[in-house]
Amino acid sequence: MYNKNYYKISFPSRSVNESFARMTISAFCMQLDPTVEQVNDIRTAVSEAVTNCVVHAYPDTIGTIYITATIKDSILKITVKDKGIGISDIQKAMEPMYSTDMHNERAGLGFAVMQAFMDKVKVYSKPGKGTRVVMTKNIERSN
Amino acid sequence: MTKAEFTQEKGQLTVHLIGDIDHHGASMIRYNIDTHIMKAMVKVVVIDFTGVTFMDSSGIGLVLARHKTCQDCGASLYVSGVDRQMGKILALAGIRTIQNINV
Repeated sequence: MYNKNYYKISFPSRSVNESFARMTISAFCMQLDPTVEQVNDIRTAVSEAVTNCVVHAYPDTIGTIYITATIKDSILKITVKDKGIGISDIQKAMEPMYSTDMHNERAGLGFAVMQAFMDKVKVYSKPGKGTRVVMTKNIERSN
Repeated sequence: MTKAEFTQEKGQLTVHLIGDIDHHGASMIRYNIDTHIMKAMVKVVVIDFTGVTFMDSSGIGLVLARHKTCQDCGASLYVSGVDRQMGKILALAGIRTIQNINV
């Protein structure tokens, strides 16, 4: 059966909204009938992407975080976007255990978690313009 | 609401984490945990994740920084009550977990 749906939200980069973002994606992906583990993987990946926006994209200001999620057949595609400071070296930023914010107890594993829990993670960024993280996961139906 | 509760007996301080351990939640409890570790003067500190409803990589930062606090206080740090999902995240940082503590 052909299946297509989407949602879009935006909210300020306040850390209290990290849990709100997780709740929205958890609720949205339910229509794919995911396993508990798949829901956990998805909400954890979104939590990491949103936290990156809160901590890194808007370090000294409150900016807007945009989430768009689409479902096409069994593929869930999530885009987390900001208009923050951007990333000059994406490859370096994605290195496990690397963080520009170690004094605030960031482990430098945000992208590693996204990559471990989603099928594909792509990062697009321009310094001064912002960053877009696009993640996909195939939620196969069990029947 | 993320919070930490503490029990102490026989040279062991147990930190019971409750709620969501994300960037927001971890930042609210970390100083309270450090204060308890420094005051407790124990040899063993256990962080118990049984009451945790969600954890992302902020949990790794929380554990690694408490490990440093424990080292400074001469205590050993253990992690318990970790479910499969949390274990997957902690494993990314090479943190091994234990099921039961016998001191």
